[in-house]
Amino acid sequence: MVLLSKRKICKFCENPEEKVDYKNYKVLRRFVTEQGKIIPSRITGTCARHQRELTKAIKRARNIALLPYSYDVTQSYK
Amino acid sequence: MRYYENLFVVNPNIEQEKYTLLIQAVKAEIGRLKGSILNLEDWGKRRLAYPIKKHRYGSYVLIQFESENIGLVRELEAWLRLNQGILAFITVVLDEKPSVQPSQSVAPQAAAE
Repeated sequence: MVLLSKRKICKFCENPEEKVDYKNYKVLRRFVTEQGKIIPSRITGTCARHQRELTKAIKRARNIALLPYSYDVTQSYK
Repeated sequence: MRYYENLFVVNPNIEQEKYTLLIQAVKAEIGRLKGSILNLEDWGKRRLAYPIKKHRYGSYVLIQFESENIGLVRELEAWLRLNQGILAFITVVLDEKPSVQPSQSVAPQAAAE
């Protein structure tokens, strides 16, 4: 999870090598909450363009079970 | 020419032999639909983010291919849907040609032999 900081810079603009990819769920996981919800760019500092790409990638990853649609924090599925 | 990739999840309980055969069958199906395979990556068994058909684990296989056949994706997905061993799949159109890694496309079969 990306926490609040004073100056927010888009992670993907900072590092152009890093493409938004649905297969890279380890990166995507930083942009969803514990419950699996997509974190708004307002919080993460992602730029509009990359946030659009991220949203799409997260939804694709959910479709193929790389990321959860939702996760019940009180009842861990193990 | 269009470039595609398909990521599919295989039932983790099938035997290694059948698993290899299934991957071969998918490759053959893409070939039949006039696609040519560029890369094949076997990610192996992973835990699913949520259970699919009561399975908590699944084996992920990524295939990248190219084709000029517009109807390929529709037919391939129809075929995958009928296949009992496949739990889930996703097909994505790639913006650019993926770099071909010959070692990876050969590795899954070599490892199985």
